[in-house]
Amino acid sequence: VSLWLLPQGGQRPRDLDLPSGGALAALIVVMLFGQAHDVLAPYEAGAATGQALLPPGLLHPLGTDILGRDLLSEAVHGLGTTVSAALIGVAVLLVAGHFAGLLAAHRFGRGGFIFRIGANVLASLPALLLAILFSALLVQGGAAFAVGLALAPHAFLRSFDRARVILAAPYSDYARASGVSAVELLKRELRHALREIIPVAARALASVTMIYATMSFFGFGAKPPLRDLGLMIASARADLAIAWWTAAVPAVTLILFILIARLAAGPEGERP
Amino acid sequence: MLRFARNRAALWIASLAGAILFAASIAALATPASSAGLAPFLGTILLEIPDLLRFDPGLSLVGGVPAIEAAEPALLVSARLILGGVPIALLVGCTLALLLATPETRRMTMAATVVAESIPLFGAALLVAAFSASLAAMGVAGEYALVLPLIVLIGFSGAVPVAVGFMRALRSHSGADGGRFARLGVRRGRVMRSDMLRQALAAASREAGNIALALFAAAAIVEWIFDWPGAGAGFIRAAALGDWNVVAVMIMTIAFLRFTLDFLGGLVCYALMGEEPPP
Repeated sequence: VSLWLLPQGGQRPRDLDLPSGGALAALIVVMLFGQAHDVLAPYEAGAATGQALLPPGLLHPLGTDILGRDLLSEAVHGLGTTVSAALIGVAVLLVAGHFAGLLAAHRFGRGGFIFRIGANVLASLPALLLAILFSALLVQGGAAFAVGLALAPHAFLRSFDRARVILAAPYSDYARASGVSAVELLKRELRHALREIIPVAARALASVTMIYATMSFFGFGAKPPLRDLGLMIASARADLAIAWWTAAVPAVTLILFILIARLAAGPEGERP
Repeated sequence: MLRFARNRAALWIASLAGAILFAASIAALATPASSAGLAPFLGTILLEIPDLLRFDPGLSLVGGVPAIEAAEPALLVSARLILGGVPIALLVGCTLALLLATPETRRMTMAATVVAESIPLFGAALLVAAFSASLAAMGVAGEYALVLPLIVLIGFSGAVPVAVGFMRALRSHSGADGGRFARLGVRRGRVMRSDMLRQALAAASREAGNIALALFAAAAIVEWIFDWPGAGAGFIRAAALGDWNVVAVMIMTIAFLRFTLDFLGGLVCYALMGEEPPP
């Protein structure tokens, strides 16, 4: 649940003076940066490059960790791993949540309510715990998939309920009465949904990243030697008292990424 | 009202049936039939349902004690933490909603909220844990140095659904009646204040299920970080170790609480506002 979903009635995103366009550009740049981490990071992932626990300085701008790894490089690699996992989660969420909800409402009639109850049951558990449960049930390395599946019931419910409201509206009745088929109505709805895909995907990216990082922190995400931001924070936990930067660098990177994704999504307005 | 209550009751029963089926599927994983193919697995799920209806899914695969006995103390510990967080969630949530509803403070509050929402709870909990551990090491505070941060963190996490519900109520109220009052010369703030308590109660009751869920999710994270023996951390541990019977008990308990709160909260909201809450 996000406060971000609640603009004042009749207010457009622009009135809030929040830079959705700029943030979207920043998000794309960060994601590309993350994907090109092997080229852009000064050192290879996991390479010991200096003395252990060096504070930020000229040689290592963000310091080094307990194994002497350059934290700037590690944060870039960690961001890349996190972004890749989050993108998988977002794809699963969009298909199993948003699209499936729309399909169930349009194509399964009253039978769609059985799916809705199923989604409601899954949504009765916190998404984080559901993701951990799915991750434990799935094969090793399926954490990103599990996060997408865990968030999908919430998206399914929203998508299903919205589609049912639209289907019950007078203009849908007029469309049906004038010979527009159910498939055509679904196609129109999908076209509408695709127009909103960027803010929806950015919002999903923020949620997926948050849960994936938390799972990773608990040890359900990336498996060493592969490291993502959540795992980096978890492994820095023991050194927090003597070397704050080892946890602060991945934590700030993670927070900035989530913040940019949230700003890129912008406030969710009421559909006209 | 009667028709509304009947519909909500039907939804409550159907949702509980779904939760039992889901928990039975998880409990069935603890049996050897889970690896013997789909048909034996489905048969085991059906056999598990009567056990779950008696709230007896079998033994904990890790502790060897009945799963219900393994889960119960952890659930009670979490319940105490969550109940401690509820007043904080209500207080912070209502304040936040008022700040967001007031045009003069809205922009700054929104910006601060977006930043705060981008901070993963485990990061904040880690920081607080380090801080309270150093306080305890210095002897500045006793056991409160450990318990209080837990409750505060949980309470702050529950504040968002409270604020969302309260803001929705304020918006719908000021949208419908507010316009009429405005034409009569009554200021918007006065309209808001005059109906504040009813709005707050309606919002809290309508969002009771969401608030409980947010509080439980937050409890799971802080319990794990503070090594607290609660149900959230217990759920994570049980899932990691494949202790499916304990997981099934916890799923049933959480789902039961969630659906019951949704059901009762919907009725209270209807009684207070005279209109159906959204699905």
